[in-house]
Amino acid sequence: MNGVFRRITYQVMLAVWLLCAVSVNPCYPAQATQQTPAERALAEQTAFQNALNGIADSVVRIEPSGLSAASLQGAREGTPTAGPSSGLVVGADGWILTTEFAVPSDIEEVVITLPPKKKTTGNTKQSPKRLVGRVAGRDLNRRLVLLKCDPEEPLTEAQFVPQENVRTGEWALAVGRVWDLYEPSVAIGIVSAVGRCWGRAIQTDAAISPVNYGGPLLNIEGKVFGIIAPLPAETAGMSTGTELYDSGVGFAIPMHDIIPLIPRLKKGETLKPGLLGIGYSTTDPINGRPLVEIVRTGSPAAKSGLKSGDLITQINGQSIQRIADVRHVLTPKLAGDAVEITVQRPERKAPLSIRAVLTGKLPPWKRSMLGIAPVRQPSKSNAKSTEEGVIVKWTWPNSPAEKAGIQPQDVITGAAIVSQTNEEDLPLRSITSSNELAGLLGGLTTNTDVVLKIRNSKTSRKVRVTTASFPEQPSNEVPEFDSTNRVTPPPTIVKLEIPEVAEPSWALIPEQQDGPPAGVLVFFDEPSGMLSEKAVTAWTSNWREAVAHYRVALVLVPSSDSGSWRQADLERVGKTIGALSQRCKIDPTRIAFAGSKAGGTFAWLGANRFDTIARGVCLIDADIPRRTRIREASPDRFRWVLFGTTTMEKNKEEGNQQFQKTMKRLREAGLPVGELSLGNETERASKLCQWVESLGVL
Amino acid sequence: MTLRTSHPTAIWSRVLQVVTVLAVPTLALCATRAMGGDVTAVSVEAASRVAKLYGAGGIRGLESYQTGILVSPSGHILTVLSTAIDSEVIDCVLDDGRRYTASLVGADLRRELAVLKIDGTNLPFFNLSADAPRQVVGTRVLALSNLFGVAVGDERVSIQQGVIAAHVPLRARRGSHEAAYRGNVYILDCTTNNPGSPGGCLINWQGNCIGMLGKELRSAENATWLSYAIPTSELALGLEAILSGSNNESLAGEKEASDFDIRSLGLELVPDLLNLTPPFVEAIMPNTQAAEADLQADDLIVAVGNRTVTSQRGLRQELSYLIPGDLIQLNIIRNGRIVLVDLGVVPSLTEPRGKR
Repeated sequence: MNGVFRRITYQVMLAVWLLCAVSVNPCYPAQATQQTPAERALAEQTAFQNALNGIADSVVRIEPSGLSAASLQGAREGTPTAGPSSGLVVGADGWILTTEFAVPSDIEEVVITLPPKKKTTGNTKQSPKRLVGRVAGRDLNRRLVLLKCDPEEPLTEAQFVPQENVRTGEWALAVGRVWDLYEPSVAIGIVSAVGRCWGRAIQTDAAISPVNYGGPLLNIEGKVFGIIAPLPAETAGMSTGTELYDSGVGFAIPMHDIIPLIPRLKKGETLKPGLLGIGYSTTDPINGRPLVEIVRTGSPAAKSGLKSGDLITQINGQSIQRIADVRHVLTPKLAGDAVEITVQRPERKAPLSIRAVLTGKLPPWKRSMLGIAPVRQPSKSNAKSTEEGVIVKWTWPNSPAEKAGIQPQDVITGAAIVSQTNEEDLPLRSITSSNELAGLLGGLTTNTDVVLKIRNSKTSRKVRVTTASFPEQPSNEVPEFDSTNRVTPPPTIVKLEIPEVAEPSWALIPEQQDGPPAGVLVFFDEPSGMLSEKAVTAWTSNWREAVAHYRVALVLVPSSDSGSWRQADLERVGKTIGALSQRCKIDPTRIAFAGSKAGGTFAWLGANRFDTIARGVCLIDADIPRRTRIREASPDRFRWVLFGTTTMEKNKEEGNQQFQKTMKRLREAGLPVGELSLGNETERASKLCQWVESLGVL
Repeated sequence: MTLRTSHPTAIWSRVLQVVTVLAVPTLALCATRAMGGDVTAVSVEAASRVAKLYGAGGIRGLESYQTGILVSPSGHILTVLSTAIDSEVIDCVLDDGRRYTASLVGADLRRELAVLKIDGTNLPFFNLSADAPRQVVGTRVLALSNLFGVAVGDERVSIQQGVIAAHVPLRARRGSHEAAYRGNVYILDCTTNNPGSPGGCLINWQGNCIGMLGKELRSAENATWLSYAIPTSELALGLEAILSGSNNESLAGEKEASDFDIRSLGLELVPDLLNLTPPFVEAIMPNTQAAEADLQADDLIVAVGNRTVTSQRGLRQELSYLIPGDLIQLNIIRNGRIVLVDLGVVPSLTEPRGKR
């Protein structure tokens, strides 16, 4: 009895208290100091429910209701790809904001279920109104879609949180309308971070999943922080963003960024990420100095006068120290946005201010070359290279460099790109490493004139060379490494163990004493599971000569399953290369993946996954997966694709047609594609190792 | 118990409460230990009524341990029906470390619940009521369970906190099979679909048992993992059915009901030759509700209400969940555009079908 009485007393007391607390100041922490934890907990609960009730009329359900490529793909590896999700009313006359998850790029219409009417006569629930919504505009940078539908009665718009009130640690309520048509769902957490996904998103630990994608993230007062969206965290290797559902990491696009864009979306615009067209040649794309190396021909960067060698110090008035700072400022920008960039240019004291208008699409780029194969340099020491300039190791047969008389042992000490205006008296940029030269040439397309300053034992001269197309077929005139007369020492087999991986990888590495860094060929054979040292010794026996002569480390990666290659096997490739670099000096410009049959297809997937690492991929008796996405070539993820055949007879006619189609697709994406006939094992080893050396041709 | 011992002078505190309620609500400091909302107090109290269960199981991918709720002073334990308790010997450990051997009393196949019995007297328990009120969305909850089996011996079960995200009928899959239970569940915003969690106790911050954590299931809509709890009112019905032995509702009846005669609506689909034949309309019979709704040949039916269908089988199944008198709303793709069609109500000429 006592307990019952007390419970009732408490309820009354609580009700009175809440009445006081909530009505006096709806923002709950008002009298926090006088509340006990228990009172606060229940006051918070009331606040959650009030916030949810307040937003209910602005949250709709959205179904793709059609077949999209995403829905056909199904839920692969537990990652939701399609299904109903939510949307937020942003205009009373039928404007609804949602995400690409609900409306993939190949869908133009969806079914929108509106919130139920507040009160209906009688006790029966009236079915909520369903309408067809059409895509008005898309923001491809934030993966948002604005829909238009024609409701009979005006919809309820929500209130938004101003930017200064979006703070880490605030309560965050994630709301959606997938579970129940009559009542929105809620998940509760806090604002975990702001400015995530390179300045585009608020992060929350509330449970975010398809049920609330497109729905609002609210503060405790029921005002909208932003639209919940499955943004991919590229830095964590995520591609769709849905991998992170219910994980404690979720994102919302802040309203203060969206609101200014709504008028453009209403007009039917497709907003694209703004591109500048620069690249850096550094091993650390996050912490590296923002030193511009690559400037793509015809890009906003080139048009505005940015040059290879410029150091970015400010963008739009914000101080820039690292490459990550550049990304933070530029990633939220859209095509058409103008940016003010301040750079420090070598041989100039005063900083230079440049204005560039970002573009949605850079002019197509295809790698060009002069035909110079520089002496291999390790990745890190280039900054403090004691040697002045780039030593030419060999030149590509019939290349512009060879025709211009550039010889092995020549040293390139300066370079400049010739444009119409600076024909004479060109200021040459001094070149101290092959990385610098690669950067300067990296963004160029064919038929660009370059002046090189060249020194040899006798003279110093300037040579004018015109870039040509990058070769598609490998050369068989690649010189062997050891030019001295001593006998090349034999390569050794090393085990590459990675934490938490049961099956170690193996590598056959060239001798290590004072030699130049090794190229890397990561080989995926047909899946066979764990590899023993004995098996590796037998497998590599035909490779020993080529590995020693062309200084290429051959890495053999085992599959975790004896019958197939798995996604998880892919993830360990990066770590394997890391483990290799602990055992032997490697040349980052000469890393290729290759594989045979199922392993060949897997090599392609590996090169996609590690697209800034793999400079070449060779598929032996294999094709790329038919549904694979081929990204357009760009200097920071250049790739030379080779198709190797071991059998003399061509494949069946049908297979060959498919193969021609693949080659066409790859070439259209701007990638060099070659075909290589591989004879016996020894010949295969020799040709592939020569090709690895050729990847470094500039 | 904890609630009482912290307040030796009950009358005093009662007086005090009345005074504080009338006078200054925010000064009600001294009375709050016993009030709901104190996570420590209510979870300690609830944990004494939760049992850690260890069965055989151990088949690849299936755990051999879970959780149960004490529902009688004499040792009845309610839990979810699973392979873990499909065992000759079930070990049961209470939060004071007492160890019992439990036997299976009975099971409710429809709700996928089971009752175990241990030999005990005067045990703390939750009195489950079929009239337990529905908890509203946004209610703060605590989930107590043998999560990952980390609590051993006299250690208390693990506690997770969250809110009720939604209150909806369960639509879930286990592998490629549909889950049997289709009643309402609380969807939770915390991750409770973990090994050991099934059978765990869901309480609100007042300390009332409001539900039982369900199994590891995926949503039938988008294949995401579900964290859900079966509400107490439903648990009480299941418990009663098992104890009274009246649990003779069979599953088979419901599953067979999933065949709906689409022709009764006045439309004919293309021949269903494949496992996943898309529901294209072949022909419309004149003077039927399909004709009246202006459904046309070559229309592709892509959803019934808000449920997407991709095959004729799926369409029949979705229609079978409707009961006579329900409105049939279809989403059609016609010439590449979405068209919403109201097909009228489900005719009542056929025998009753399974409930949703």
